[in-house]
Amino acid sequence: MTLDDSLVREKLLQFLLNEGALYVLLLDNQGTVLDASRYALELYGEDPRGRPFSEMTPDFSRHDDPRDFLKDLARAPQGLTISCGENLPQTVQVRLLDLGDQGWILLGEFPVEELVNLQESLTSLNAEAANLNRELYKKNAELKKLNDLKNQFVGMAAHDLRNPISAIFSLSSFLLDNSVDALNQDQYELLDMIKASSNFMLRLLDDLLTLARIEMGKLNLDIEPVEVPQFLRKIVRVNQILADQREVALRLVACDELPPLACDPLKIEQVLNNLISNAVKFSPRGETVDIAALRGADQVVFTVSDRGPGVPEKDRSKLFKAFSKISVQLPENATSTGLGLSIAQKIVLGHLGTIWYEPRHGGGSSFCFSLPLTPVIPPKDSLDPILLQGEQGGESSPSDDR
Amino acid sequence: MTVREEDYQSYFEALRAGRKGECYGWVQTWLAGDMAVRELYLAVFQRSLYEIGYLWETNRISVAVEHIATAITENLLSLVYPRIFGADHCGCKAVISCLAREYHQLGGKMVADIFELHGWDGYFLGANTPLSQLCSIVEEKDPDLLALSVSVAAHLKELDGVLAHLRERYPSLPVLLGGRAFQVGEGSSVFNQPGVLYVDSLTTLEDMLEGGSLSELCQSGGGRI
Ligand code: B12
Repeated sequence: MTLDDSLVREKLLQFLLNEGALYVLLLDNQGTVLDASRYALELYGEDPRGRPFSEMTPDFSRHDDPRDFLKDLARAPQGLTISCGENLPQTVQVRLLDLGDQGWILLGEFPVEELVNLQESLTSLNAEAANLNRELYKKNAELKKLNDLKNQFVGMAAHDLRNPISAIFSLSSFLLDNSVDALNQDQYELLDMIKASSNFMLRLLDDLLTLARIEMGKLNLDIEPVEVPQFLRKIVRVNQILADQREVALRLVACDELPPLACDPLKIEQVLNNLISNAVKFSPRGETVDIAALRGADQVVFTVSDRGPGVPEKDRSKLFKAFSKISVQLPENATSTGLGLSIAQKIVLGHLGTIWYEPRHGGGSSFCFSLPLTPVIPPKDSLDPILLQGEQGGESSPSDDR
Repeated sequence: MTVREEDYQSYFEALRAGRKGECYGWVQTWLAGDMAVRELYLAVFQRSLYEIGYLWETNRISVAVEHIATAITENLLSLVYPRIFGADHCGCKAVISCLAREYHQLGGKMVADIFELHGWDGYFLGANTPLSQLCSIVEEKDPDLLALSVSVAAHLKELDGVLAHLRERYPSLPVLLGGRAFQVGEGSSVFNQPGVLYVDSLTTLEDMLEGGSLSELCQSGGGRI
């Protein structure tokens, strides 16, 4: 039995053009590319079919009539190296097979050597990248140690400052309450300023202590089941007292039916208090702050929305970063330690939730956070301090009071 | 914890076949089992690369397979980093480097890691570091000790000049030598000179670090060598 010659030829040609890692170009007698192997097509990037071969290869275009050059070349037994422009491999060794007045076949081999070089370069790039990675780990560990040191220092300083400042606060309060008659108007106002300032400093110190403690991995969560509706109603009631002073109404707009939520109620209350007091602070008089708790697939989303000025786009990514200065003006008489949102974010992250900002439809801000309904709460001592530093951005581009 | 022979063989098969995920899995298992870093480095990484080297030398695997096995190992080292870089630091610093044209860098990197593990700062400069660059980093980091890793025996003939230069420029900086190159031919004996010490293995280095003899050596400005 013999093989059908034309079938063998056809199959071979198909293989060479479509599957083999070979460089094949079929040229007509004008030197125009008729067909190219898959490998040749990949090398050129642009489809060479229908274009004169001379356009693609600088070596050829220098000749007046590229066909003469092709003819000469077909006689050179050693073939030639042609460059393939900017792609890799950059050169290919080809032989020109003359088909007489029909045209030419350009046949090249896989440039193994260049590929070996390529692999060598990749291996050494990999080695360099691995070294950089090592350096990064080392730097990161150093930074972490410095941060711990900073937190220890802040913790100590805040702790030592707290006693004298709380003495200033309580003594000025005492004088204001008990010596009114002995003070003239100016003295009274000055003393009142001393009291307000020392009160602010106490809040700042408390926030600093909390933040330092959390960053050092000491966010100790006391997880217990919490009935969300009662919990929210209580928080709204407490905050309403403050809101009344600014003539702002708090409204619990929605609270889905929820199974008991496993969380640390004191800490989550701290988060909600912070969001609500911010919302009240930025609300125009007579406006309303909306509070909601909605059930998602496997989480609860808490939302606090105000009708204040909102946060400009450029500041949103800084919102949850400690001490970041953003351009929204604090209303008159309002103070902010700049740490509240940062603390809130860390508490939410500690519960494996997320916190984020959304502009409110119709103006104002919405601050939202989600808590998992069936949380896998990490054991206390395994909370990753890096995680709690909240650097993993995303939509929880966390931060602080506006 | 030591590596069980059959586990090592599975790891080696995966490494040889370039199945990096499987190699990662093994290393993670060993680390989770609290295997000592030195054990992992010697009984897994070094042993397997020596075997890969032997297979390549004897033409049973291609250079491509060797390259991939090396690249995988380079990346596996990073799995150990969380453990290494967490150590409390004692304030001592070591700079570890390869010489110019030396492309074998894994041994030197492991040496740097062992320094870190024992509370030293181990700065690794990488493969193919020209003397001028080495000097500028020595000046920047002001280390207590410099360690050089040499793998290719042919590079030893340049070492004399390098050492002379270093001794002249930094007379009180002790220099440790180590690596494959010293295990063939004349070995390390020709480099017996003041301030220069050949250390034959990672294990010896670790003993020196644990016994405190390296810190003493640095305090004496290499004078005790
Ligand atoms: C991987 C490898 C390569 C890779 C290296 C990539 C990289 N990122 O490192 C590449 C492909 C670049 C390579 C190239 C070459 N290689 Co090569 N390579 C190897 C191989 C297979 C493994 C090396 C390795 O990483 N080992 C693992 C490490 C952990 O072991 P180590 O280096 O010995 O280090 C340990 C100890 O020595 C010690 N140590 C090392 N330094 C120091 C320093 C101090 C201070 C201390 C205390 C201890 C210490 O601690 C380490 C941990 O225990 C070896 C085979 C072998 N048997 O070693 C050949 C081998 C090292 N290569 C060899 C050769 C000949 C070459 C080439 C010349 C091949 C060629 N013809 O192109 C080139 C030379 C390149 C150059 N100029 O440097 C020979 C060297 C022979 C000799 N001693 O002279 C070897 C031994 C193979 C062989 N038997 O032929 N190679």
